[in-house]
Amino acid sequence: MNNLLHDLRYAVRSLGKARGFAAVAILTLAFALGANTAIFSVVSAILLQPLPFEQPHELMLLSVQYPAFTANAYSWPNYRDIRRQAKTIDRAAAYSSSQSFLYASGIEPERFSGAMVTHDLWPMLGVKPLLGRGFSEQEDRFGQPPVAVISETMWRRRFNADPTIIGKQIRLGNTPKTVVGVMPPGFKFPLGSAQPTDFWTSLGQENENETDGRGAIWMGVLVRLKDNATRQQFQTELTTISKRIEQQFPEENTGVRFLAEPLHDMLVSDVRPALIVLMCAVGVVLLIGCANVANLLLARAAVRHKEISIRSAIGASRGRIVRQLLVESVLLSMLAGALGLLLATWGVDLLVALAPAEIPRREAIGIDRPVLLFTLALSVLTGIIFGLAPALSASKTNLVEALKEGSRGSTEGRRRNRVRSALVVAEIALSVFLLVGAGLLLRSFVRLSGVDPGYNYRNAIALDVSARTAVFPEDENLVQFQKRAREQLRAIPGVTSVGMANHLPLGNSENIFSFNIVGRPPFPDGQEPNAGFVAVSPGYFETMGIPILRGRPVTEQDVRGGQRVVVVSESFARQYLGKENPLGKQVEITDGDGVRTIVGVAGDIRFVSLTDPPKPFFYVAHSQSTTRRMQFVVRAPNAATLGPTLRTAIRKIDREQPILGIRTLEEIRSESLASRRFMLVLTAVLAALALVLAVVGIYSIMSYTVTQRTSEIGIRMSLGAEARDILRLIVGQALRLVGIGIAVGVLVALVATRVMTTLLYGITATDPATFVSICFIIGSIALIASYVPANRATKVDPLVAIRYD
Amino acid sequence: MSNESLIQIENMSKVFYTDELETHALTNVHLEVKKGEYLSIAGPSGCGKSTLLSILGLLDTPSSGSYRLNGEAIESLGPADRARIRNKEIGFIFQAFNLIGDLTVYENVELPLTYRRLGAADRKRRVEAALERVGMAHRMRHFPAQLSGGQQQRVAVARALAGEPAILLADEPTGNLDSKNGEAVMELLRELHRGGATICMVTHDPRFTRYADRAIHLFDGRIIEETHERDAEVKLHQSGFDLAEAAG
Repeated sequence: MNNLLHDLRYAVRSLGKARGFAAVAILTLAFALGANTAIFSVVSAILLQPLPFEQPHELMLLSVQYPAFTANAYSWPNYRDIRRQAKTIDRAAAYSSSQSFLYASGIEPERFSGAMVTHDLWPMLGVKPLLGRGFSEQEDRFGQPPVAVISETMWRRRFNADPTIIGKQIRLGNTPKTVVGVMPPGFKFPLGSAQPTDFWTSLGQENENETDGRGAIWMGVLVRLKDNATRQQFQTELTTISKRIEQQFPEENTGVRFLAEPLHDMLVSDVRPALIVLMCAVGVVLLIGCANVANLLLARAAVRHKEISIRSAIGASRGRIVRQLLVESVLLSMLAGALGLLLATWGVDLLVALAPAEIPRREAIGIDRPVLLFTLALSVLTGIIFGLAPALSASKTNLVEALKEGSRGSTEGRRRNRVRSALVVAEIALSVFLLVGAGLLLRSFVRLSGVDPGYNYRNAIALDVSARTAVFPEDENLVQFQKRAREQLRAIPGVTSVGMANHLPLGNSENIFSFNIVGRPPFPDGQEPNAGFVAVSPGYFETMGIPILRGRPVTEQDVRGGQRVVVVSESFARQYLGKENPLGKQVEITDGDGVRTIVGVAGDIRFVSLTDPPKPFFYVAHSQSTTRRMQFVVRAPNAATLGPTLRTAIRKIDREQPILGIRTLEEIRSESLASRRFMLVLTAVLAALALVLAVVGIYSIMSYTVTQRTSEIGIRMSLGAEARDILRLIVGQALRLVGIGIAVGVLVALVATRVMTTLLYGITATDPATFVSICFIIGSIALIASYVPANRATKVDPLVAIRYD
Repeated sequence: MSNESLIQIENMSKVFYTDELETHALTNVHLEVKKGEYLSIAGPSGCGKSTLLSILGLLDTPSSGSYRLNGEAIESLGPADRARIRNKEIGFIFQAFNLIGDLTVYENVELPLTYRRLGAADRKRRVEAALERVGMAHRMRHFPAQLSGGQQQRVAVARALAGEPAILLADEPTGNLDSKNGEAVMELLRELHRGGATICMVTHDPRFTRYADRAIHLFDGRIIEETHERDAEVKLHQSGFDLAEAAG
């Protein structure tokens, strides 16, 4: 212990004397360790930390595998059957996200995100409310007085943390609700929702006599397993139940299988590959940083050769010298870790601010105890990694040989530089690997940005409203609202067209329905195809810039009570009607509104995401399938500036009409790429950091080489070498190292980037253009980095150099 | 030895400036070296002999005076031309051999020829001939560290010879060798001289000045004495130095 303290004291003194070296090493490592800490804080919060519920590993989220797709959505009857029949579950709860306006006199209505949940959720999660309680089984029934549990944020912000809030009524949505509980700070459910959840109301109250059919899938289902039950047992049970339901209700359940997955796994499944890629990338940056500092230490070891020889001569064992040097390197990395932690605290704030809303558990991201322990452990490990090779190399002293070499009269060989060269090769290889990864993401993003969505997203703005039930109670009123709103918006100067749809492309929501084609045999149960479904107003296609390829769009003549019409997409016509003329054909869509006649064919658009190919779509007339939610699209040359004008125009129809949002179509499209953009930015930043570190590595080894080879350069010049010969010698050596590094890096990247396949679009993981460009970029930058010391070498005075020791 | 001048130095001085001090390394030096001549430059440490050799070898420039090598004025040449002349006209033999540790014997000898952009076949012929000449052809695949000091200096001589230079400049060529190996290297230089080579050799060892046709003696940067072979031998006998004993 005493020896260790002595080593530590000496290490502090030694680093204090070499401040320049220490500063460079600490900064290099601090950036790398800081980046690792920041990314690990994200990985820890999302992938590693248990969910903030009681016994979270027992919580299972259910999904349903339909013949054509999988969804986390159940019908009420199927949920009820699982709850009753499954013996391995302790509790089951259903939930559905919702949004409501909170009304208060004198204040503009404010929209809050919340959820309807069944009463079982409260005991199942085991989270104790800050005030009051969750609602009871009795309160969770249709016809009971409405109750609500609110978030601590809403309680504090909208009710000034009123300690007597329990039992008071609030105007949340259409009916007043009694507050029965306030949840503690940070409580969030459902976890996957992009918005914070601010209220929870009873799902049972919304479900009149449990009359919904088994085809209406709209609820998430969460269960807690019994203590002694396993996931496999529960899954076996679920499979049996789903087969039973399939037999009893084949119409809606043929081919349907219920699936269970741990809540945590389900929550993070979408982001897991990206996070793993990021963690690898940031690990690579750290390795490059280690290689750089190891190189610096090797150069320093050469300078300290005499000191180490003296220590050996007076009896220090090799192990003792290695330990002394390792204490120095670990001290360096610990200091770097502390600085890195500081950088990471800013980095984490930045990460959270930049992270797209859909990233789960964003609120849990931060520098906490596990992150601190990670940084501490990583710092120690880093110190050992970059310190070990130089320590072993430096401790291998042979005074006799060293003296002999000095008298031999030939220049020192480059063999001593092999370790350093190997480190530079490794740095280049790792940089190539990382830059190829970033390059692939960039090329994917560029491709994706260039994808034609099938509509014109420029110079158009969307206004999102939900017509108030109190003012527009019936379908007739909703159609009137829709028409008047279009008229008001159309009257705004500069507006060239206005349309409306209940869902907009890339807006993160869609309806799909199965269907049959009239006059053909119905599709077998469980094999019905699906198509997207959107209710649109006259002017929608024109405003969106979606071409009508045949027939006509929805018009003012498509009125309520008239012939039910539908415009189908090009994909629908091609896929289901082949070469037949689609106009006049009839389809029966399972939305409950019966048979519709096809009156037009519209061009394909990418509705759900830019990555998914266009799929079959129904456009029905809003006047014939009314919806309360309406998204008006306004086309004008100055669309981006029209927000306040649109708001005023809508308020002319209903003074209290809440506005859910105003965004240009360009913004909606851009937001649909937010996750990919975030991933790209992070990877690019890491790749840039790696490149900078690698370039510094090349520069430092070439500078060191020039210093070490001064004598040789002098000899060469005395033998007639010109400046260009010296330049070629030094740059050639650098390029040899870079060439080997690039070759190794390309091989590694060819194998490793395959894990990125799911993150790419329009290119393969072995995209030749990306590989060639990255090799060219790294080669060019390495050339520049080696040119500076090489140029310095040409200025060597041969006379001085020959006498150089 | 012909009567044709290879080196003509007129009134040359070299001054080093360090901080506020002026050090006169050479003062008003006049020197002529004929083609085929073997000149020895002698003198005590710090007398300026190495500075003179460096200027002769175009590794350094005089502060004043003129220098013509093979009829060409040297003072006005740029770095590239000086490098070219060093490569073609001058062969260096250093006290510390100055071989490059990472290159084999063959590659070391080949080095000046590569700077002359000669073809591979031509280089090979010259390298082999030079190594044959110094008796080191059998070690051409070895690295310098695998050779004795005497052998390394032979390789250095071969490297100086390979380019068939107009003049060989030797700076204390025996300084790092034992007496036996030193004698052998001096014999090698004498053989080369007999074969027509022009040699300028710096030495502070009076035993080896006898190998030269002529010796100049420097003191404080000035040539204070010039002796010919016969005179040098006389002087050595007068000082009681026994050549046979020194040769072992």
